[in-house]
Amino acid sequence: MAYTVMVVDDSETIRSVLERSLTMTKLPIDAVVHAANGREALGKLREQWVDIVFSDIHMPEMNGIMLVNAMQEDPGLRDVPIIIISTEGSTTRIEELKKMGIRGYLRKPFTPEAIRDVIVSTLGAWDEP
Amino acid sequence: MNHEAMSQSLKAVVVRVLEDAAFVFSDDLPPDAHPSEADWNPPGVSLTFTGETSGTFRLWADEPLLRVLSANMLGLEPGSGNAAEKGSDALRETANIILGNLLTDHFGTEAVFDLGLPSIADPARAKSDCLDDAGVWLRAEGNTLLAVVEIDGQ
Repeated sequence: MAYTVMVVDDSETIRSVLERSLTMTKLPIDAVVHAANGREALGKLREQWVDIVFSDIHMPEMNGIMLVNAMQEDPGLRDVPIIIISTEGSTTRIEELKKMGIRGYLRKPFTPEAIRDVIVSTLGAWDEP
Repeated sequence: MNHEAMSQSLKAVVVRVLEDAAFVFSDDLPPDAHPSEADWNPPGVSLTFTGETSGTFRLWADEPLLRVLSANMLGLEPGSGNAAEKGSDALRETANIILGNLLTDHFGTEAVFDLGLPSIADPARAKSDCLDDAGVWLRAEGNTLLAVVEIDGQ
């Protein structure tokens, strides 16, 4: 079984870096879906299956916090795990986000190992053939 | 606000983020090597922050360094058209990462800040930033880089 991962960030650079990091995790990634903000992400999430969402906080149109809230309010999306990736290291902000329903938090700059760890801890271990 | 302490934090964070995010290594740029405000017209990025302290962060870099940043972050050839095209976005994201890490390093993990979206800096500000004593000057891959934090009300 391979994973479909969504990457939500207004920076094309960060979306590309994250996709590149995902390939370096050696995890079975079937597809990476890109979205430039929360609104675009919601539209795509309602059209296709995604196993896990990585999202920035600060984005135009709909930011990451609004995306988390919208997913929690949608019965079809409530169980899709969302990981926040941000530059901020505020423990206060991270605790607030966890209470809102996020499953994990990664701080930029991130490593492929950190990406792998958060996917495995969220979706479960995957045994390499 | 202790300008010296902020300047030291800023320098440490810029050096670390350039290495960790873009595999770019940097050194101090000695004062006698600083470009004059009349001659230096680099691209720059600006972003605001609000919280227990509010202000603006600006990052200026020689144009060739933007291509290096995007090439290293994206795994492209520095001379490729893609690297040049994506240089501005790479500088914006580098500035974003620097500011987020700086605020946590300097003010601690309990402090909560809201960061604005990175935007192109007013070129006229490069002139005044050149004269800012608290600015951090670095040389990276043979290019000049300047980082400045401006605190509101100071």
